[in-house]
Amino acid sequence: MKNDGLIAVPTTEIVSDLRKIDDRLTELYKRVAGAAADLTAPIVRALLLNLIVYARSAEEAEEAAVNISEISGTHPCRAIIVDVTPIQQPSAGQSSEAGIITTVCGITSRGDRTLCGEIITLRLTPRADQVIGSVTPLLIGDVPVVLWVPGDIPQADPDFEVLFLMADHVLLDSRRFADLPAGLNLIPRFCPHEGAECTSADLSWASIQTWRELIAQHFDPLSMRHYLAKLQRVDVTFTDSRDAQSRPEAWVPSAPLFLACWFMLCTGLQPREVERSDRGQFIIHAEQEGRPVEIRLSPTGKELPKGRIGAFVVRGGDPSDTATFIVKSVSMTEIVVTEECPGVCLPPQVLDVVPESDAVLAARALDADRRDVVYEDVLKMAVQVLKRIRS
Amino acid sequence: MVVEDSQFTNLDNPPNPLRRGLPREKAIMPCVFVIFGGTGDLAHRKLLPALYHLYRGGLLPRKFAILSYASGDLTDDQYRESIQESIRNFAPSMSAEGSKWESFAQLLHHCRRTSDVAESMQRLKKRLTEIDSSVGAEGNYLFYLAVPPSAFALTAKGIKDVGLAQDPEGRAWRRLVIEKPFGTDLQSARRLNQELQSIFREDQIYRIDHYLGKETVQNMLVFRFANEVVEPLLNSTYVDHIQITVAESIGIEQRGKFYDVTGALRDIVQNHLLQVTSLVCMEPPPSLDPEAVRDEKTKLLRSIRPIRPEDVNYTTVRGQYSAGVFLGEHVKGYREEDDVKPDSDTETYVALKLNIDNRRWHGVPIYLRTGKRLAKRVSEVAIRLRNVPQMLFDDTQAAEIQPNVISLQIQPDEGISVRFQAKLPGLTLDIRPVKMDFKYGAAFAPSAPEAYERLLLDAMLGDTSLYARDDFVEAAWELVDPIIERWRLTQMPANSYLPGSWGPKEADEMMARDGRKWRRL
Repeated sequence: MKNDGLIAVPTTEIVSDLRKIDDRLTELYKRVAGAAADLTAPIVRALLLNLIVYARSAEEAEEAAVNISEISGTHPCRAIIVDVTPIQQPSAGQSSEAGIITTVCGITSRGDRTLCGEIITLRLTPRADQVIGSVTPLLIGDVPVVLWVPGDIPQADPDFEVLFLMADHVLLDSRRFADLPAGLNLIPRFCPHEGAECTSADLSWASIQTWRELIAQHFDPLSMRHYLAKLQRVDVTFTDSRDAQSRPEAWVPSAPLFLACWFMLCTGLQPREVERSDRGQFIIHAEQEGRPVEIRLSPTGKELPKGRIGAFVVRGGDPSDTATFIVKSVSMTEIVVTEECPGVCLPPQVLDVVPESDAVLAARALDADRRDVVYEDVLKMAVQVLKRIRS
Repeated sequence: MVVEDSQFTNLDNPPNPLRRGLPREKAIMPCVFVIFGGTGDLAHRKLLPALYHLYRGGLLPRKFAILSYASGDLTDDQYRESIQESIRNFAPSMSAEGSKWESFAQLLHHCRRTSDVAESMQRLKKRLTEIDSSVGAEGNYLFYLAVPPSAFALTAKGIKDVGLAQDPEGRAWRRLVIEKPFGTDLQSARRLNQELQSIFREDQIYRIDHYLGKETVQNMLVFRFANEVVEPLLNSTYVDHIQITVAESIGIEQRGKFYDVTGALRDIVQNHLLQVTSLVCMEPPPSLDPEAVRDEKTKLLRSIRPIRPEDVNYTTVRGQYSAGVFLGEHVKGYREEDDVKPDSDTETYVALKLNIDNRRWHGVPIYLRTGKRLAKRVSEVAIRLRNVPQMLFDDTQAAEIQPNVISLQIQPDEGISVRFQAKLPGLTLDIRPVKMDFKYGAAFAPSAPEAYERLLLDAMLGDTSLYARDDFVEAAWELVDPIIERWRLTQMPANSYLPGSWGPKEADEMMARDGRKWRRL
């Protein structure tokens, strides 16, 4: 996502009557235009999609507003944050608050336009009829509806169900599932089964795209391809995300698990058994054409945010012709790619990567709003792997 | 676009299984990008900035190098410095400093060409082999000929003579990229094709037309074939005529020497305009496979009715800009430009009318116009639909009804607009045309990539969709040659027009004879 040169001109207003939201937004835009009068880039109200965020706490709602502001330059939208945190009754003399409207604007990377979208935060009593009656009239017609669920997938939640029925595309984030196996089992409901129109994307899956690209690049040269057919061992390290209450199978975060499963899927590795050590290491005993191959997922220090992938190391080839391919994160913005092999091996290369905030990942997931069969296959394998864990 | 199972096998063989589902753009095989004329203007202004931008975007493979081959006696470091300077000047939005630049600079190498071409080519081969060994390019070479067209065949022969045109083991790819003009007439184009094809297979030859790298031009396929509201209208039942305009507000600048022997018909119509015409009017290809698209484009070109010699004077117009004032500034006339003969009759403006002899477009004229020093820099395709049956409205109301126009703006503001009729608010039935506008800049914040980036990337990926095939080039010359010949025989004059106008009045008269007008852009 390009965010260079974006200038945020947020303007916020509290609205007590939801029926007036559109009128108030028009007023707000006039103010934005006035505030931005000195900008050379003309203001364009560009609503390319409806983005509904289902927030179950004030923190989630606030975080969503920040993320949406960040992507407004590339994905200007009407965002509706449905905050179902229990509402405190206003005290005497305090005006009742039905919603907050905010315009979020950013100058395009070319600098010739200021694109503006808007956030409407609705504080709703958790009641399905209120959710449907408040959200539906506010949706912009004829553009897609995306539902973003920042945390666990709600179950038996009528509010969520009505929002889900409105959505064309669902953004999930399995990195935040409190119970990974349970959460992953629920995802297929959002993946399109044959004939379904709604698609889903997982920010965790989006977060490993750069890793997949860099690992794949190792094997683009034809001379390196044969190492994939004779894998010896794969190591994935990640920053430890354990806490005292975690269930054993929840210790492996979804991003490294997806990366390992993706690699197994692409290289024909069949998981047979999964072993878990007390130190939080997972060893997937797999087979490639009858040969045993170990895939180790190991927690390391806590230098990076928890659950983040630290390194991916592949070792393959015959005993006389062994090569090792390494992709390693050295900071939030740098990844080192290197290899040790008998042929032409380049020196380590440091690559700049965009720090992958939720906003960056959401933007990427919004761009890929179509069925991703690779993800679906990886998800199935991840569920299978988690089921095979034995202590 | 991502790598799908169906495309997957086309990238390399055997395919890299880890590429499945990943963006196709990042699946370039290791290679060395060899630039013949690496110290020239094109390399400095366009090619290297485009490659640097691709590098910054992480789109170039890890095992990659750029080798310049040119007459300058430069060390690698001196060459790197010269490119750094050019990027500062011609692509100031990218920083040519810091670690990113330093790592890119390490990919740049230079090999000097001396007057002893055979010996120089041997040195080039040696250098290329060394670089290949050090980066692991596996023998994949792209030869970009940023040299005058007259040197294309000779350079290709030089590549062949040192054994670089084909990989002896047949495992690596070798590609040749050339820039227009592809010949100056049908005969020379055929000769060039034959010469190049005696060395490289047609699928190794990439004829670049940078116009095809523009986002809106690529969007034409999407606009036509991904929108059911559009494609069913594009035929003689609904379309009255089509106007395609490529207008420049600048003059010929420093290109006098080239332009004076070329003219607008060869420079723009024979390639850009006919490419765009083919995309707008071709039949749907069976797939987006490059060859399928190129087949349809060529088929369309072959369906254009050749202009009969006796019709040339009525269906084509030549123009030449005179001296004048453009936006308050005095500008030279064409004949006063550097390297232009003072009595030159070269056209800087062309308008022409084409007819397509197929069922879809029978009776729908296609009007093309292009020129220098016109009122604006604007390129667009305008599809003018037929008038509506007017029985519902009285004469006054009917007179207000303007036909629907679908216009595809190629530059500068890429977008699509539709003109339609609406009732003016009020108690009376007054009708006004209104415009529904889609602008790329407003809908998608990220800028479109530069045309060269797209095209260089495609050449490295082995995707020929946006490159001209030999039969298309020849078919285009077959259309253009008789016009040039007739102009020569009848000494058809280039009519003078003022800078800042929309061309000579004869172009308006040509339209008026058909009861039509050029669009005011």
